[in-house]
Amino acid sequence: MKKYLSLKSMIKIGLLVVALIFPLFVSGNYVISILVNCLFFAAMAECWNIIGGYGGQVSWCHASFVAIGAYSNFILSNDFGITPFLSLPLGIGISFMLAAVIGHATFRLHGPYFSVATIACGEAVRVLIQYFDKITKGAAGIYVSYKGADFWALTFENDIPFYYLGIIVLLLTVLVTYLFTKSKTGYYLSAIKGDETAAESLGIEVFKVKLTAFQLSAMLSSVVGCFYASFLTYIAPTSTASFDLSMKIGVVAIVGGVASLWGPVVGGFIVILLIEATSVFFGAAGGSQMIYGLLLIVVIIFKPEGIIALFRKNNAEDSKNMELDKKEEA
Amino acid sequence: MTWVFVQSLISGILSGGVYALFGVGITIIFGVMKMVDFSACSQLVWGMYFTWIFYAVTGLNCYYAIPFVVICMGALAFVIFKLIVRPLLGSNDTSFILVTLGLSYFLQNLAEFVFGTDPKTIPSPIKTSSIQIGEYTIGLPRFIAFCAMIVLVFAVYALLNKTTLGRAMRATAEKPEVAQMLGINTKKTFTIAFMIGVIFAGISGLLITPIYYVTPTSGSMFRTAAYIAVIIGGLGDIKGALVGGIVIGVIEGLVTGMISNDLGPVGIGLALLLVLYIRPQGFFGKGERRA
Repeated sequence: MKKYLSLKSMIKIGLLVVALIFPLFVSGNYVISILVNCLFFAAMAECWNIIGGYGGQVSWCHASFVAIGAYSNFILSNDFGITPFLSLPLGIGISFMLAAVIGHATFRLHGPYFSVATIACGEAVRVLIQYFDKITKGAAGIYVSYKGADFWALTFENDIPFYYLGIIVLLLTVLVTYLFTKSKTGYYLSAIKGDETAAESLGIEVFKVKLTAFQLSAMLSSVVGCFYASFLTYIAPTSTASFDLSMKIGVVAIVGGVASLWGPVVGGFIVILLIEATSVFFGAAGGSQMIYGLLLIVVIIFKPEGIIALFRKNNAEDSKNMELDKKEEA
Repeated sequence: MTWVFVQSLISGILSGGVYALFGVGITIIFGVMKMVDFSACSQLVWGMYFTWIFYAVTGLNCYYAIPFVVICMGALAFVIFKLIVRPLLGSNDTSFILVTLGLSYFLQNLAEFVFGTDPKTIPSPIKTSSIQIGEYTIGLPRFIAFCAMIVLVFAVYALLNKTTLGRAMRATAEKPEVAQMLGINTKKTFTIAFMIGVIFAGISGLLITPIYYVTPTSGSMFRTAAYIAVIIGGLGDIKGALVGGIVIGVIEGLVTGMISNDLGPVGIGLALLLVLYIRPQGFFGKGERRA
């Protein structure tokens, strides 16, 4: 057992080292920019995973939280010259409150209510961003004002700094998710996912636990969104707050593997690279976007645990025992 | 001001009719299978494109396309049911939400891949004609859509309450296991219910072709408004879908007419939150609340 674990962590450390030195061997920005996209999508999917995977509550408005982080970054840095790092609390605060509003209305109910409410909310946020065009520049979107390479403004000459930033953000989301799943609330959440009624009869405050998980997921998403926006250098309601982005985040997480720590990371790289490859053949619109829908259908029907399940066939017994442990502990 | 209010109210009720028709389709599927079909808004887009294909081939008015659209949507529904829905029967509703949303995204982008993004129109004299009552105007296509909705809802009501098939469907909705024991072919009932739901989405698409452009993203307004209508009416209740559709139409009409043209989705989003706070099971829901 011990030996096996250490082998696993050695593989992980090896992959991280490869990832860290990878940019030294690549010339040109294109490959790096695709990898940065993979990293950020993996990070967003990891956030989605907290409520969508571990909680079993399918959210389709994570793009709204990403947009909140992105817009608070750009508005504060363009209009007031404040560094993106200081705009993080603003984005986190707004996401926290928005998640509270959605959660309060829907987490008392069982069924598709949460999903419908999140779709509606995502649409409302996009429309509001377009409506308040004095602050957000409306549908035209915002460009970041480039004043030379500057770490505190998060503007760089090429995408390599964003590559490292992406790795840091991804590891941060993985760490937060890990800590969350090992916390009391995390165990409660997995118990609720297993059987809501049983969990409630054991004295778990179902409503509160779901709400906390959703708020954590939302706040973390806005942090990712803040850095992702700096990488994009241009944000618009259709690119950051649309249903399409929410959909992609969800698909990345589900294809990778819901309710697993590294599933969304695997999903981020596989899905985004696959889309990049197909868009070469089919064009960026329509054709390659079909793949998202197709992947989702195929994975849910044939491999609901996600791609990551292919890597850990032999310790299925382990995870079964772990789940039992979790239930007992809850 | 009064004029704006009454005019917004009228157009709200009329566009609510289409939401209601669309919502009844979702309701039939939910009523029998206890699952929400999130792909209906893309099925509506395909209904619009089938209408456009019919027009492009024959040059006839869109209302002549009804039999063609019904057949095409029925075939589409059959294929979807066999390939995607059937393997999932009996699994939890989360995976059904995910699969139908994936299907929705797939169908929408398939339309974009096949037909391109440029909007298509079906020209006809009905498009611009309207009925004048005093100082208020009623667009003829919206009025026809509203009447068609009333007729179809009554037809469904009669189907469910007066025919053997309808009784079988209601029995399956009540308890599939018992229905099966009584000799009802539940698989067949599921198939028929799903096909009726998809055909309703297609007909809604046909009826709005004189009002909106035919584009792959035309269904996105239904993704929010119509589903909210179904929820606030009470999931699984046909009366609820009807009333919810019209209420949502009116709210959207009033918000877009009197506050701003862009804020419709915000208005209906707030309406959803408000209803969920006050009456979580919706207007006519039987209280499936489990907290």
